[in-house]
Amino acid sequence: MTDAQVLLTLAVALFAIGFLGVVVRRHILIMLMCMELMLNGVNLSLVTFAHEQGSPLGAVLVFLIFVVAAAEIAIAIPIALLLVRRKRTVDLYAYTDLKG
Amino acid sequence: MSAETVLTALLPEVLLLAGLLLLIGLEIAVPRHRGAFAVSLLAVAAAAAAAAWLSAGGSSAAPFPGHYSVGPDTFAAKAVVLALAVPVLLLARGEFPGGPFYPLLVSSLLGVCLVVSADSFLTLFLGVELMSIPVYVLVVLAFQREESAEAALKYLVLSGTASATFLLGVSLLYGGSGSLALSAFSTALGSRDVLATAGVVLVLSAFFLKAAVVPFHTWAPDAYEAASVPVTAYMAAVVKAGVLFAVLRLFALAPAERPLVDLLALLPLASMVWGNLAAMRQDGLRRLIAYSSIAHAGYLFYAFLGDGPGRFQAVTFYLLAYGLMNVLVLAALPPAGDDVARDRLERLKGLFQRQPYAAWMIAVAMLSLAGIPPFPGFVAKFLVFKNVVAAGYPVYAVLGLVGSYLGLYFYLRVIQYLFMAPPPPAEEASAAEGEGAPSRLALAATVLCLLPAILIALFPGWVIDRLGG
Repeated sequence: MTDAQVLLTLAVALFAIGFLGVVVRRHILIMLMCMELMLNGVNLSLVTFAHEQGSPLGAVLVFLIFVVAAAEIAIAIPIALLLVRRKRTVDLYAYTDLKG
Repeated sequence: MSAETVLTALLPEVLLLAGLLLLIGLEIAVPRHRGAFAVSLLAVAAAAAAAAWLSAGGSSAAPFPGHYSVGPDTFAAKAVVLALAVPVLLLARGEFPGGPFYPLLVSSLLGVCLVVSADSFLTLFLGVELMSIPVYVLVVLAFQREESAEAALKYLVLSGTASATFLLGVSLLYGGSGSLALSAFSTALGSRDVLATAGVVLVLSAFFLKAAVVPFHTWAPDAYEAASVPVTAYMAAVVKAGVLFAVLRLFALAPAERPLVDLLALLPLASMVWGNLAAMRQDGLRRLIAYSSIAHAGYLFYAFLGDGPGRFQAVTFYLLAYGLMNVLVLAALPPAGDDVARDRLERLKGLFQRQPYAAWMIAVAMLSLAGIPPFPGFVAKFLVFKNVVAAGYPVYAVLGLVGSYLGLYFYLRVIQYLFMAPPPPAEEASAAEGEGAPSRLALAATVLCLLPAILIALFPGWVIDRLGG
């Protein structure tokens, strides 16, 4: 395997672990961390592709992803706090007032 | 390119941005000021008028070549979205006298405008996030219900997952083509390359989730129910429109090809059937609207089976008719002391005897959403299914029509509640007690929805021509 292939495999693996975490785990903070893990997998693949192609565009998108991920977490944490204050737990199984 | 052309091309965005900055400045400078509603209403209405004027003038430009371009059709799309936001703002006046609601709504609208003109994945990504991040806060904002925070978190996590999926797809398309232009998506549609196909499927499923298509729909009923009424109206009409316009930009004029056509037909079909079936079981109006919006997302994605030029007209017309009717229902819903009680379908029983105007408005909207002939929803559905048949998928068209008739039951059940069911005598007193007449602003919002609806019901051809394509 070339370096690029190793990096891309790692990127997809990071994304897959993150996705599994969001789907399987019900701990609010772990779900948020897994969301970040997915985004980091994407970042790694973007950087690898940008390096392969010698164009800076992919790296620019990485910076935008940083900004948006930070904004998302800045909103997610206060919402999680609101929930934890009410129920005294971070386990989403306790939050079953709503049923899809 | 001179500054003047750039400013003209960006006029709707510039007006929204000016309004947004003014709102934030007011918030900082004058504590507990009452001007937020007026400023945002003015900014949004001015931006809508500017977009409509530029669309009628037929101007087109590319202020940021390769990233951002405008033409008569994008201006028309912006005008539709911004015009839908005006009655939403009128509805919000009663519930949010001031505070963060208005800046959040305006910045989300700015995101929608960005999405509509995006030419590269950079702008599209920024636009989609600018559109959806304020909505997470809007859902939690009213906090009248215990479940608001839970629904907002669910929405945020699922929507964030969708964004990550979208970005992985973009990254694969970028790896294959070396460019972040949206055309990378439409070229990948026709390619047999595994990487390109994977990218297309990832990007599409992300938008399926954002538009709440089965099986990615679970966040929608919760978020629609837990948000306050104006926010539900905003999500159902404007955010859904923004997502669909993003998909329109992605597909551009490219036809959907074989392996993808089945994905594009089967999931929306499942969405129509499941949305309509699940709506029958609901006893809250907003959950009913949520499931109906899941079914409508199915019809909207059906339009992408059709050929390129007809697709834009069909989707824009559909979004206009569907958005107007959704806002109309929520505007006509009589207010009550308790937000949970306001939502219950039983409260609509015998509404015709108490508030004939509100009952008629809800009935018109329900018939239109169901797609009964004289109402605008019929023309919208007709355009979609006509395109599907013309593109050579009669089987999917027939299945879709059958799926859409499943929806008649619950739309008509609401009408039966309104006109035929007398309120039970024991509850009559309590129902009348909590129920006030709609405020003047809510009445103005219903009129703002009803007049364009009458226009597009009487002259659909004229409206379709104006929407370009």
